[in-house]
Amino acid sequence: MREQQVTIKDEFGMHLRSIMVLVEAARKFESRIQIRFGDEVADGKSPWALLGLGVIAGSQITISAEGRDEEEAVRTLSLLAEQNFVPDSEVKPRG
Amino acid sequence: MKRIRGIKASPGIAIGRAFVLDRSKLRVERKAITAKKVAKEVERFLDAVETSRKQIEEIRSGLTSGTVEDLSTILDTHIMLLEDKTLKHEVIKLIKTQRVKAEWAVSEVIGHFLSLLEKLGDEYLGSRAVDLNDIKRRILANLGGGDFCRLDEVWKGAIVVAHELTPSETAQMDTNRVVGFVTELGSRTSHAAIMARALEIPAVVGAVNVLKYANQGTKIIVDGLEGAVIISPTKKHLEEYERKREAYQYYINELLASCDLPAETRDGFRIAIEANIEAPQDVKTAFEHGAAGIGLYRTEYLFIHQNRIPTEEEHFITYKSIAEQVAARSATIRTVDIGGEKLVDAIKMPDQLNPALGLRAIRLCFARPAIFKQQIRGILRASAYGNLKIMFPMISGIEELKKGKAIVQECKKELAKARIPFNEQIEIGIMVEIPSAALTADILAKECDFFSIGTNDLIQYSLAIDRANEEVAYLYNPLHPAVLRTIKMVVDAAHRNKVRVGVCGEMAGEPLYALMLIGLGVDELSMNAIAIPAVKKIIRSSLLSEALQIASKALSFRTAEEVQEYIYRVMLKRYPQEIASLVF
Repeated sequence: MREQQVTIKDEFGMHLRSIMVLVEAARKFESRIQIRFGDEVADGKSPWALLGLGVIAGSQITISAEGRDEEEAVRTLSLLAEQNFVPDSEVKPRG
Repeated sequence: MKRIRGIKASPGIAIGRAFVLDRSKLRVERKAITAKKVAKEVERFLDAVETSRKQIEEIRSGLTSGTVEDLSTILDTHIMLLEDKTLKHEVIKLIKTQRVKAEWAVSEVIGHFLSLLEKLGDEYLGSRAVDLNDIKRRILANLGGGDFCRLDEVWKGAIVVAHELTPSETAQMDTNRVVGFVTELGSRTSHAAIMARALEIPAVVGAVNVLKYANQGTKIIVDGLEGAVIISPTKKHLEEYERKREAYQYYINELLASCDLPAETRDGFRIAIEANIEAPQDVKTAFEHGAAGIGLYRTEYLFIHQNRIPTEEEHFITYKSIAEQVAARSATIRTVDIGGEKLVDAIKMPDQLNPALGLRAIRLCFARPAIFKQQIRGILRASAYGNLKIMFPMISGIEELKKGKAIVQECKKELAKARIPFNEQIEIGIMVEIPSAALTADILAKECDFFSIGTNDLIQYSLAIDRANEEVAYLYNPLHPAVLRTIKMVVDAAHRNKVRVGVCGEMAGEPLYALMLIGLGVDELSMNAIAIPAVKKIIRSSLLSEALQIASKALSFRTAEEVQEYIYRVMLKRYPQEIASLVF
């Protein structure tokens, strides 16, 4: 299992849009992905579960993955979190 | 008859019968069930989720490509949320443990998530919460209650009246049947308003209490030109609005049909009408409205939207997209103008007592050269793909212009060394928006390829008026003799040095001022796409001599009020329809 801590920088915490970006990325991996916030753990591939964590701005979360592609999963998802959940592929100035 | 004022969301006049989407019937009460019925209730819930998912997929597949880009993304989100096992799990758990009807369980569970989202705060999230509400309503409707899907049954000539409209509802609207809509909530930038403009349906939002007066089938008028809703109009009103609608329709058709013709006066004087844009996807709209090029791309949205500093690669990709779209026409990329009122959190700024006079725009770029160079390199690299120009904002004197140019030169050298292609001849121009730049226009003109007069800031700095300050906003007047004289002076200095002058502030898109600006000698006007057809029409139906006469007369007055009175009188007399359309 691999894991990494990241800080949620977005001033509105993990809101619906960033959750959607995270889930979409997480689902591309075979590994089981979990997001831990405080004592609570949520399935990284489930938007409702992640919403349920209620991660507020400035808090630390732990991204963990277990499976064949765990290393790449943790790396990709942490990077995404660091980039404020703006997918690399799209540069959308607006919309 | 009842008239309600709202916010004009999409122009035009619609007359029809109210199709009221009243969701109060969807209020859910807690109802208990017996243990025996639990399994059946769970099944009923799962069926409703599946039906909801299918409905959204159907709406999605029915979207005509290219209408509204973001909509399919929103619907994808909905599908993802409906497929998620956590939602199903939580609802089923509640049905089983509390022995309640599915409706109640769905309301409770989604309500819980909504309250979590609300805790994160702000209006931005409020608009996101609409997505969750949308899903909740749809599942509830599919559980057998409510009005939700009735939009399918909308009749021809309907005006949809609702408290608010969700993205999936607007997507579902049959534009052959729905002729307009009115909502109680919303602003000009809310989803429903954006959709209305994309679908070209007249709409008024923020019409408070409209549901109180409009019943199912009530005759109703949506006046998207003035932002008003008339419920149960009198015969006289109806006749008046029928005329207004026809006149507007005729006018719009005529305008759009002719907007591709060049902006040339009847005596053959041609001027360039260009568009101001905020994102690459605006280029298409600009050309559809007859823009000859992009006169101003405000790159700060690239910073503000993402709330971080874009990388060189992001700059490059964005500008390349614009370059490819404009090809041989041109796009003027204004380097970032932040600081002032447009702040980006990612750039740490000291608190400034007077930000409009502080560290902003080119000054900020010089203070943070790394940010500036990333942008310049991005523009240069993209210039290999189409005709781009560089424009510096907030230049106050020749030293700044020279410094900016030196940085461009430095970036060019680096790129050449790395064998990365760019346009060696790329034009460099400046915004003339500070009085000191206007007063030294003759000096600046010798060092650059073009000027663009940014009237918004020029007026603010010339008249020492903070427009945002309500106490003094009344003094903000584009027609102040000082402003007109400044424009004239800049134009004359530029032309003596063979430099072209554009105007890109709000003043440029004001049909009333078009002829006066041309008469003052301005070569290019850059404005919001929506204003282009009317401005072009005015230019095409006038003579250069007329424009010169209007400008010289305007320059002869002593007060802004006198200029204004004259301009309104002469323009309204000559172009009543074009001027009428500018209420929007």
